[in-house]
Amino acid sequence: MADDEGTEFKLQANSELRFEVEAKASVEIEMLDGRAEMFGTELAKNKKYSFVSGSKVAIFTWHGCTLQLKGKTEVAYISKETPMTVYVNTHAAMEQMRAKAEAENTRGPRILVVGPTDVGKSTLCRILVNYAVRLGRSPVFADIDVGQGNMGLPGTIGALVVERTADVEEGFQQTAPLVFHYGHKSANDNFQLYNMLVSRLAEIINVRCEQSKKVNCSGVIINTAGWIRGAGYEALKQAAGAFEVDVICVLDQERLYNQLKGDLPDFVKIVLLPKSGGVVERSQATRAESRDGRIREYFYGLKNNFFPHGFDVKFNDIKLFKVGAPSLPESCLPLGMKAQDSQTKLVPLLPSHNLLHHILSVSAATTVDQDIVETNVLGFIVVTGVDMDKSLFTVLSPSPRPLPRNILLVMDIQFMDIK
Amino acid sequence: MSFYDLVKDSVLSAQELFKYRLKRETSLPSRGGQKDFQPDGSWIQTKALEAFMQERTSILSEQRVEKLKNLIEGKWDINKRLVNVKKTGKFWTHMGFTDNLRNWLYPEEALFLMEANVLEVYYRDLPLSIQEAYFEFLGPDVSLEEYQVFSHLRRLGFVVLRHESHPVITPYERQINLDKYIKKSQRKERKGKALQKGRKIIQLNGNSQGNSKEPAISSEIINDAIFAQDNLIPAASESNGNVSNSLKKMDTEYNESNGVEESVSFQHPADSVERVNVQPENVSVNTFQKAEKRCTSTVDNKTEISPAKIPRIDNESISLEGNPENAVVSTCGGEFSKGSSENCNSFQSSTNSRFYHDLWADCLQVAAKIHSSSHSELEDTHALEVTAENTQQKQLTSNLETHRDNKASDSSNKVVEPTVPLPNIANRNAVWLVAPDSRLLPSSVELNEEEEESLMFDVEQYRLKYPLKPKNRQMEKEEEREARIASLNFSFAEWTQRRPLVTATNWKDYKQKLAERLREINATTPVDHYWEGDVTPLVRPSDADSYECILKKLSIIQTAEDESLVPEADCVVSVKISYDVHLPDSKFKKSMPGVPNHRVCVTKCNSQPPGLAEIQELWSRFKDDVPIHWAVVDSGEIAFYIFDNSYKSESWT
Repeated sequence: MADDEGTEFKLQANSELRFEVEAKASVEIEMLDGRAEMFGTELAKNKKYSFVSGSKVAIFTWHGCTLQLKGKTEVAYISKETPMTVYVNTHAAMEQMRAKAEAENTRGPRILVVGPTDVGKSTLCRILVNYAVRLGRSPVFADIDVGQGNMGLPGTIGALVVERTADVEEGFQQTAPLVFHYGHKSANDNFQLYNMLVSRLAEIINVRCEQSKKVNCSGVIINTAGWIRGAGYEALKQAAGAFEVDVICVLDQERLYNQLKGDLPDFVKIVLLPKSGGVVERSQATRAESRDGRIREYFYGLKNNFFPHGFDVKFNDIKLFKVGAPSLPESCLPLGMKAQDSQTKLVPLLPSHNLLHHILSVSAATTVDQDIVETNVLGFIVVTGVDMDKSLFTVLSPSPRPLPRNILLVMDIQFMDIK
Repeated sequence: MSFYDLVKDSVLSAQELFKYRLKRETSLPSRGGQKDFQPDGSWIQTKALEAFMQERTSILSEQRVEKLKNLIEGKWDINKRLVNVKKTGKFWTHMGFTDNLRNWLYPEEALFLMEANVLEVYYRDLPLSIQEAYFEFLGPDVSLEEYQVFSHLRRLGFVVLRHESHPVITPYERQINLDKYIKKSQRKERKGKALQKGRKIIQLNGNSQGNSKEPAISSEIINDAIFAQDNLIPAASESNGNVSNSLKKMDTEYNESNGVEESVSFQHPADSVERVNVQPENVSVNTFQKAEKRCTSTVDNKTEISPAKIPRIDNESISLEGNPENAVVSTCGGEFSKGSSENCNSFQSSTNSRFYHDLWADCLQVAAKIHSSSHSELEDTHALEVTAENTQQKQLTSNLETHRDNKASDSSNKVVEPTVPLPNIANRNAVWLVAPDSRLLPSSVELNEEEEESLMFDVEQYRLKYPLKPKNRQMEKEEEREARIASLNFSFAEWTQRRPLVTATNWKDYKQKLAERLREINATTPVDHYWEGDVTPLVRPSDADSYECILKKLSIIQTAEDESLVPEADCVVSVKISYDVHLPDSKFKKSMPGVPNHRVCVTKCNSQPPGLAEIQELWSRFKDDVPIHWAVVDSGEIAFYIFDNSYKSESWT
């Protein structure tokens, strides 16, 4: 749809350019004139930004600008109807709360963004965080969406203190996030563990906020998963309670809005916000692909600029665990005995061929005595080969040997390293 | 005239009988030996072929001799499509059923017995020939392939019963050993009901298979073939003695023409049931006539690998919206090459070690300290608690203020306000937004105050553009269920439900009150005393939200595994199981057969293998571990396949 010289788009004030990059192609954007931003991050003039295949991008301008687009896009159009004014108002309200918190030396506002799948929750969170950072705040961005893994990898939840706006191409810089190992693609798989980890995340964030006044009054922005029915709804309520949120933004679902309004106490402000027209619904296949892409990005970098290391690890050097054991129903147990909380139990594992292609989290715990389930992880490795005769396995790791810790947690998620 | 004189032509004498007792070195005929790929004109090849052909023709032309009194008489009832027998023989222990004081045989059973020289079926007072029997008995309820599978399995010795789609005895009853105590009369009652249901289903399924055409074709061809033959022996009006001969001859001709018939039937246009031509592997085409098959294809338990690839795509398209995070991370097909990682070794990473810096370690330590010293009175925790309380208090006042402010601004529609309210499009037609103070906005983010339109968000238009998605059935069901649960009436309602809502002004308060409420509920139930001893009930009254919760807690009703894979009922053609197979066992009781050892589903070789949705639906139908075999029939050759369902169980070590 665009040829080699590129197409020029002239945008008026309060409009945005939306485009999707075709599969196996890349697109380059350059801002020639005016001022524009992408999901809250300002674009620099005359700088070329490239987007990988499959990206869905919207570049918004408050004043008007000229953009040049080079490359193959599935769609590229300008839209004048965006909910950005609504989002900016939300940000302004939050900023007011922050100013008050700063003045009174109290805790900053905590906002939970909820909604069904594909409404733009992650984007809204990104915009809010970026705007806060541009005003000099240091908000904490927490992501409890286990499926997509924008923070860490799919199968983890995490939080990050943000001090710089997200990079246009690469997103938030994740050098020191707080990441907890969950191990499954969906919160449904181990509900108890999920709730436990969310509470733990909230707890640690509270401690962090206590340590720095700046972080404390900047507040927390929490992104959730799109699972909002049944047990997912319970998980939302628990997350709201664990983080002690002040505001809940419901995107585009009146039903959820009414439910939350009925169930949560009055001091929690619940608002319904519109979703953007540029939001694209993803199929299951696309979601799975984006998960895979996220894992690949972790190891190889967005533009294949990281070089992960492959080396051998002996079985004796490491300790393997997984969280969650199959539980016996209480009716099967002898009278008088109670079933323990097996869903959050730490189960040691023997290395075997079952581990092939699974992702392992490297726990920050140094000894087995610590509560490994509730300890954060430092990173991830993939098992690329298992040699039972020599008792070792080959792993792909982001940094050279040796591994920083020797306690590893096994995830349900697998990754095939195809070059 | 003595009795002997009257019957001496038809009854064989002892000497003649002895003649027919042929001794053979091997019980099985040879299958041809090593395959020759082309005729090479050698003498030895022609001789080998000749010998092979001779052996075949001699076996086929063999006359089968049976005791006269073993021949049972049966009557074909065309309305019921069953054969009525008055006297029953040895086969009665594992074939047929009784209904209204009469003994009946299923058509496939009757046909099998006819071919085995045990039964003679009369229709309109004349005994049926084998070809007529094939024509009459095989129809919409029993297809030719099903009969072939049936006879094959019976010849191997298995006890093959028609599939019981509505089990007379539920697995639960079996589990608690109730099946032994159900009285015979009750069982018959249940069986009758099940049969009625079953017959309707079989008819429906059978019609959809569209098999009614085949026997018609077969009879035409047979008639042609027979008229062309010289050794034609009229089927009807043979006296009993020569019945065996004539039947034998008819068999031969029928079988020869059968070969023709079978090849024709597969050029028959595709059935009304969807399937596209896919040839499964391992079906060897062999022209060995089915009447004389002794031990041909063994029961092959092969796991089908190729269809598994197709279902992966099906899975994604069939997936439900209820749980969107259940997609399979793509793992098929990729080959890991060690080379790539070894190449990486030679490069130094351009960035620093990318394991995360553990900046949060101190936070974790503090948290650990809080936990460990939560009971003792250390200064730091105390201080933390105090500060926490203070912040909460301040938060509480600030919240109240902003809340009040927001309320004020919401009610009025003025544009300029000192405080910016949180925008909310719920229950409104339009939202007037405020242009926030520039202090609140980052640089270069400016809202044009002049344009009134940019400050107004038209909610109605938004709703028109994005109307509510039509809910799919699963969501509707869930909502119905939630509504039902909400409207449940509890006894002791004043104690569980009708309590005033917990009100609080901040989170800490709220949580405390909630915990108190929970404790109250747990502490003051009318059945408190049950928890006093060692043996406690499994379910607490506070757990009782609905039937499902309780049953789940007790784990009586097991949910289908992998619920996300169970498709909606209207988009999948359910697989028809034809037979329940039991092992040849003298302890087998027809009245109470028990759980079958195998179940068989019959398909043709040109139909598509079942997709993942169908297999999943099939497995969820039966909660027991009985293997389900697919019998693929190709011109009389049958191959059995099983799908390996071990992927379902997650096993780590």
